[in-house]
This record gives sequence, C-alpha cells and structure tokens, in this order.
Amino acid sequence: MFTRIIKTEWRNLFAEKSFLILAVFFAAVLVYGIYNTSSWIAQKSAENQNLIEKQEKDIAEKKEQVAKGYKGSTEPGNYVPDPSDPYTIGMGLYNAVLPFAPSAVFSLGQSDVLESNAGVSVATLQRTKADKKGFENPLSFLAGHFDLSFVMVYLLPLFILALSFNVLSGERENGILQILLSQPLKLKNLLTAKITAQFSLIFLLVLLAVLGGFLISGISLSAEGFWAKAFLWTVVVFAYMLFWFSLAVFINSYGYSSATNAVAAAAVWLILVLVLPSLLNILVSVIYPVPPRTETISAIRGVNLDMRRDGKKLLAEHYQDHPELMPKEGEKAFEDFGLAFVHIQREQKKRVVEVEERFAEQVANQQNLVQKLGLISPSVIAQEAFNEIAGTGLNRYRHFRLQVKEFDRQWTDFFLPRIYKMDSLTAKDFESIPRFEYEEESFSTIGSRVGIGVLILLIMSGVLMFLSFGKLKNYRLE
Amino acid sequence: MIAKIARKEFIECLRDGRFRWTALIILALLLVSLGLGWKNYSDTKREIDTAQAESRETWENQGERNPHSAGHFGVYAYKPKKPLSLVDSGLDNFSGSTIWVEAHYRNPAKHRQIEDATALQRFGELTAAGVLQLLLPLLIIFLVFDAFAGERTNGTLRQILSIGVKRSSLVFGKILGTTSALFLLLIPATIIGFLALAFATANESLLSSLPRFLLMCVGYLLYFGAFIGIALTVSAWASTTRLALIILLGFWIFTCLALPRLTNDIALNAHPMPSNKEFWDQIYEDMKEGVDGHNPSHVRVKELEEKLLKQYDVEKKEDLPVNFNALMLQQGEEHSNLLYTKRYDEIWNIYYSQERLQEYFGAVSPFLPIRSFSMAMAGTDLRHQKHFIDEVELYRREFVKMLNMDFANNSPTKDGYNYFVGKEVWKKAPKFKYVEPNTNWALQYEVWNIILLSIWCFGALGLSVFAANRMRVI
Repeated sequence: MFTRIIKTEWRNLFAEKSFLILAVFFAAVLVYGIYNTSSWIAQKSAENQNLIEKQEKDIAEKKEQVAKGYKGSTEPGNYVPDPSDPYTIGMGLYNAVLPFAPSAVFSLGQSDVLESNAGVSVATLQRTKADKKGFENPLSFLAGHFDLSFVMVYLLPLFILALSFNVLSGERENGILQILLSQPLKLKNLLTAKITAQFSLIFLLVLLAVLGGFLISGISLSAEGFWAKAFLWTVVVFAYMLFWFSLAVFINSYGYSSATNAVAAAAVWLILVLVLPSLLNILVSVIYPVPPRTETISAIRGVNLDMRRDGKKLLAEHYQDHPELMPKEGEKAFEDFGLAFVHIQREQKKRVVEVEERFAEQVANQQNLVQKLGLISPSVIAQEAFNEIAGTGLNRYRHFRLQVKEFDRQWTDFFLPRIYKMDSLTAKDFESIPRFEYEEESFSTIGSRVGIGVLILLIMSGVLMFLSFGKLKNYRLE
Repeated sequence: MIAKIARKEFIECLRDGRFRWTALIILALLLVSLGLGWKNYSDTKREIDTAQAESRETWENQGERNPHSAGHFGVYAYKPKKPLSLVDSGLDNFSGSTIWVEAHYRNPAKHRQIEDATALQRFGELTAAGVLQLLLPLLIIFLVFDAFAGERTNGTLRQILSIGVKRSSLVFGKILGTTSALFLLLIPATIIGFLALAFATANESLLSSLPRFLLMCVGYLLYFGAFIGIALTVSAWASTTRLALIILLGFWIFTCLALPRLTNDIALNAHPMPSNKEFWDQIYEDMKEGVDGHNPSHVRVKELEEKLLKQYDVEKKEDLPVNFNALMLQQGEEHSNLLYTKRYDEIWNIYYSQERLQEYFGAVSPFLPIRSFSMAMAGTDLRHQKHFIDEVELYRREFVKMLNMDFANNSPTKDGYNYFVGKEVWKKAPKFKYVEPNTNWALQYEVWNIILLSIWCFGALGLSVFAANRMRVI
C-alpha cells in the first residue's frame, strides 16, 4: 500500500502541469546559480593567480639584477630602489593568497567581502596597495549574489512549501481523503507516503540539476577532496529539506483550509528566512559590539615619531639594545634615514597588530556566537554549513589569517636583521626568501562544525513530525 | 457607494486575524528597526565627532616637523552619518567611512562595516526601509489577494453586481478600504519615524532633512500603491484565490528577492571592475609616465628647474631663495591630482554603469526603483558617497598645497629638508567640514526612478480598474 501511494503521488505530480513548470524553472535557477558562482570564482582565481605570478616574476627579476650587480638608480624623478638592499623587498609588500577551495562553488559566501589576499611586510601596510583597497562597488554588497547557496537557502524551501502546503488539506478539499481512508490505510501512513514521494522527487531533482550545473560550468570534479565535500553538502541539503517538509506536515496537521495553510507557510518562511536571521544579527552585535574602527587610526597615530626629527636618537637607542644588529660601518647607520623609518614602522606595526587582534577577536566571538545562536534558525544553519563546505566563510578565513600571521613573522625574521645590519642580498639569499602556501583545514574539523547543524535540523524535523502525528489523531476529514 | 464598499473592506481587514497579526508584527519590526537606526545614528555620530576632533588635535600637537613630513602624517576625514540613515542605512555598511588625507596619495575610503561582521549580515540588516520595501508588500498581498477572487468563490460578487454596483466603484472602494487599513499602520509608523528623526537631529538639520523625509514618504506611497494595484489586478484576473495568492507570492519573490541579486550579478559581469592591484599599478604608471604618457616625471622636474632658475635669475638650484624640493613636491601633487581625478572617475563611472543597468530592470520590478530612491533621499546612495570622497579630495589638495607652499616660501633650496615648523603652522591648516548636498541635488539623479515608480503605481491601479471591468463574475 505504502509504495502504491508513493507511485500514485509521483504519477499525479507528473501529470500536473504547474508542478512540471515549477520543477523545470527551479532546475534552471539551480543551474544558473552554479554557473554564476563558478564564473565569479574563475574571475577571482585568475586575479589571484595573476598576483602570484607577477610577484614571483618580480622576485626573479630582482635576483637576476643582483646577479648582474645592478644597484638601482637615484636620479631624481626616476628613482629605482637597489634590488640587493633587503629593505627593498622586505619593507615592500608580499601578498599571501588564500586560494578558493575546489568546493567553493557550493557557496559564494563571504568571498566578496573577505579579501583573498593579505599583505605581508616588515613595515605596516599603511602605504601599500594592501591597505589602499576597497574599490568594490558598495551596491554589489547590498543585494548579494545569485549563487547556489541563495537558491538552496531561500528558494528551495519555497519550492518545497509550494508543493506540500496542501498535502492533506488539498486531498480533503477534493473529497479524496475520505475515499482513501475508507481503504485499509491510516492517515499517518498516507501522509508519510505522500511526503516521501514528494521529498524523493525534489531531492533527486536537486541532485541531478546540480550535477548538470557542474558539467555545464566545467567545474573540475576530480579535484582533491571535492567529493567528500559534495557528500557533506548532500547531507546538509537532505536535513534542510526534511525540516521544511516537516514544517509543511506540521502546518497541515492543524486541519485548516489550503488557503490558510498557504498564508501560514509563507509567513513562517518569511520569519525563519528573513526576519529571524536579521534579529540574530542584531543580538550578536549587541552582545559583542565591534569597537569603532577609529581606534585603528588612533593606534597608528599614537606613535608620533618623525624620521627627520627623532631618527638619530631612535637608532642609537635601538643599537644599544641590539648590538648584534650593528652594521659593520656602524657610524653610517645613525645617519641613515631609511633605518629610522624602519624603526618607526616597527613601532607602529606593534600597535596596529594589537588593535587588529582586538578586532579579529571580537569578530571571532561574534562568529562563535553565530554558530551557537544560529542553531535556532534553520536557514542560518544551512547558510553557515554551505559556507563552511565551500570554504567561503569566516572560519576558513580566520584559519588563513592565522597562517599569514605566522608567515609575517618568518618574513620579518628573514629581512629585519639584514636590514638593520645593512647587509646586501646575494643571488643565493634570494633562494631562501620565504613563500606563503595556504594549508587547508582538515575535513574532520569542517565536518564536525557542519555536523552539529545537521543534527539540530534533524532534531527539529523529528519534533515537528512527532507533534504533527499527535495532532493527526484529531484530524477532521470534512 | 464607494465609501460603503471602502468601509466594508476596512472593517473586514480589521476583523481579519491575519491582518491584525501581520500588521502588529510589522509595526513591531518597524519600531524596533527605527529604534536601532536611531541608536546607530547617535552612536556613530558621537564616534565620528570625537574622532574628527581627535584627528585635528593630534595634528596640531604633532610637534616640530618638516611640513612635508607633516603632509605624510596627514589628517583623517570622517564621513558624517546622515540623519535619515536611521530610516534607510542604504550603502552605509558597505562603503568606506574614513579617508586618510595625506600628501601624494588619494586614498580610498576605508573601514567598511561589513568587513567586521559575520555572514549573518548578509541575510539583510533590519532597517525601517527593509521592512517597508520587503515586508509591507507581503502584507498588502495577504490583504488583497482574495479581494475579487474570494468574492467570486463565495458567490458574493454576483450578488453585488446584480444590485447595480458599478465595477469601477467596487475597485475604488477596495483600493480605498485597503489603503485606509494600511494607513492605520503607516501613520503611527511615520509619526514615530519623524519623532526619531527629530530627536536624533539638531533643529537645524531637521529642517534640511524634512523635505527628504517627505519625499521618501511619497516614494513609499507610490510603491505601496503599485502593490495594491497589482494585487487587485491579479485577484480580478485569477480564477481561484489560491491561484491569485501563488501568482502574487511568485511576483514578490521575483521582484523583491531574486531580481536584485540577479541584476547585481548581471551588472557586475557587464561592467567589470579592475582589481585593486590593477588600479594602483595604473596610478603608479601614470605618475611616472605622465597622465597621457607624454611627459614623464623626470622631464617635468627638469622643466620646473629651468623655469625657476630663469625666474629668480640664478645659475644653480642651490642658490634659489625658495625651496626647490617643496616646489617639486607641489608640482608632483598638481600632476597627480589630475590623474587621480581621471582614474577615480573611471572607477565611479563603472559603478554608475552598474547602477544604471540595475535601474533599467526597475521596469519589471518596483522594488529596484524604490530601493534607489529611498537611499538617495536618505543620502546613503552611491552619489552621496561620491560627493563625500570628492569633497575630501578638494580638501586634501588645499591641505597639502598649504604645507608645500609654507615649505617652499620659508626656506631656501640649499637647506634641503632641514626646515622645521610647529603648532603655529599646523593651526593654519584648513579644517575639514563636510556639507551635505541639498535635496534638489539628490533629486536630479532620481528622475528615472520617480518616473518608474509613478508608472508602476498609477499603471497598476489603472490596470486593476481595467481588470475588474473585464473580470468573470462566476
């Protein structure tokens, strides 16, 4: 009986023109979302690739110049820094790049807001390109993007509700329910069978459309770790879909008319997907307010030192503390304008790092709270999980920043002593200039963060189903 | 007759549990968002006022320096928060609010709030504008979707028309009834919005914000009118209430949810932005080779030297009574000013092209024009941001020039950079005071959106009359 109802339900759905239109439309939207995300990723990856290549080319060029003995140019208006001076590369900007994960196509996430490259330098970033950024159109942040996760988080529930809001009320209004239940069939089983039929159909549709989208967009499916992430994604989608179907069942179990059910479903969707997350956002920023950014500025300006005015004194003090860094021609160092600048920059950097860390910590607190509080909203759970799987969320970015911080230390350890000692870089030294390479988080870390959300979704669905089945005992058939 | 129908609709709305609950929730959300907007506005304003004063104080007390070093130390310009941002924060969270004013560099506005936020921010911030633009249309849909379709299903439509009620009276009555019910919600919301505005601003800026506030209200009325018209049309046309509801919800999802994202991506692809690195590489290239690639910097320096030697009738530049270094710096500034204007305008023209492309889509979605119009009136849109950064740039030029000229005129070339000054010079540096552009200025860019909104409103209402005249009775 159970399978027969499922088959009938499938047949009914396929016979219904509005379902077919909706299904085709939804599949098309999914494919477009994937295509859109993948072209965004391709564009950003190309930019990053370009950046790395230019950077490597630049270092290689300088190495060659050093090998040839070129010393730069001091002609006014045509200044070229000496490539063998460790100051030139060390105090300059090195870009540490966060590559997209192969699974990034699952959600564009925060990848438009969070910079995929971070500046590294002995100095502060204050005068580098890494600091003079932010040219994205602000308007593009306002609307957000039409990516796969938008389709899944916002539109999929609507598709589900459009299909299932009258799963019982519709049958009742057509008078079929009474006939059906005159057979040896329990209402509970009828409902379960119908929902199973609808669920399996949509789930299959989603998987097929997504696979089609991948093929059309030319995403490399063989990349390392892709299928594990894809599996995780499928699990999240399963749990998220289950929640919305359970909700439809719950609404139906009250026994109101289809029209009322439709309005109720729309209202619940609205509250869960639009209103609740923005209320949570407020709550999170009230509990962990991020200090005003003006503090970063005060930190930099708090170090009111001037090269021309304070340079000599600062350097004298510095070499007193660090006699091992004293250059061979010691006297010359006190005259050196550039070294005073290095010293001041180091002082400022210390302060800036302190403040930046305070900011990062507060945002990290917010993120941790979001991961907890977000558990009351299915759409926040899904969005966070998708970002997590795609590697476009705040967690992977934090992981990246930690590595950059460590790398910044390596970079400084390599260059700073050489700068203070006024050594010259030899062509051989160039080979040991450190390079940044991002190391991925382990699958189990990501899996466990996603797992909690999935668990909560399943529990929510279970509770809704349980409550509904309780109510069904009193369901009026007319 | 119209009045009677309107009264019936009005009373029915009030008795309808759906309306009461939804209206209450929306009103509560409006109040919360206005309260938050007000708090945000006053907090930010305080922060900015303090920071701006602090920046000046640090500047004046920086001690003895060479004026050019001081030019590098620089000052900061902060974007003031607009009073009406408490209603519509628009692009405030997404655009930079702070500009470092220094010699040589026109720095981009920094410190976008969104960089210090979690992904929750992307679900949308709760603002009064968000509630009005997204949720109120839904309330209208819930109110109106069964206006005709419901009467038809119940069979009352036949009865009403059989007693000689004109179809047009029926439509106008419905429009009037629904609108009055909506006003029950909107009037207190407007009053509270106005009070929040009045509390938040000093008297002076309240007066200047008032026309913007009123225009904003008119814009929203047109927007709601459009949705009432659309909902009535669909209700008249659809055979069942269920179909009417599905079509209307579909329309809402499409216009308010999907289309803004869709058009955003289309616009980004149609008018791609250079990356940050490309932008600055171009600037450095320009600086070296000259704006048009014809007068590289070392040639320009040579020319200046010759000109000055001739002017002061001396042989070597070391004999110049003015400081050559400073004049060379100022020459560099004058040159870079040109190229910054050029390159920044290029970027902004890309923004505007993207924005315009999105606005064209306003022809299929009333949401897009009201979003733009509301931001423009609140002073939180792209144009206002550009106005701010342009004002800061003008200030930067004045500021840097004053320092360079002090350096040039008060020390001879042979002293090089060994010229130090203190507080008395720092005090003479101009202060940054941003004056917000007036309402007319903001309106001139909004003609297209106003036209679109009006067409949407009156077109949709007209269409509903037309649809009612032709609707099936059974």
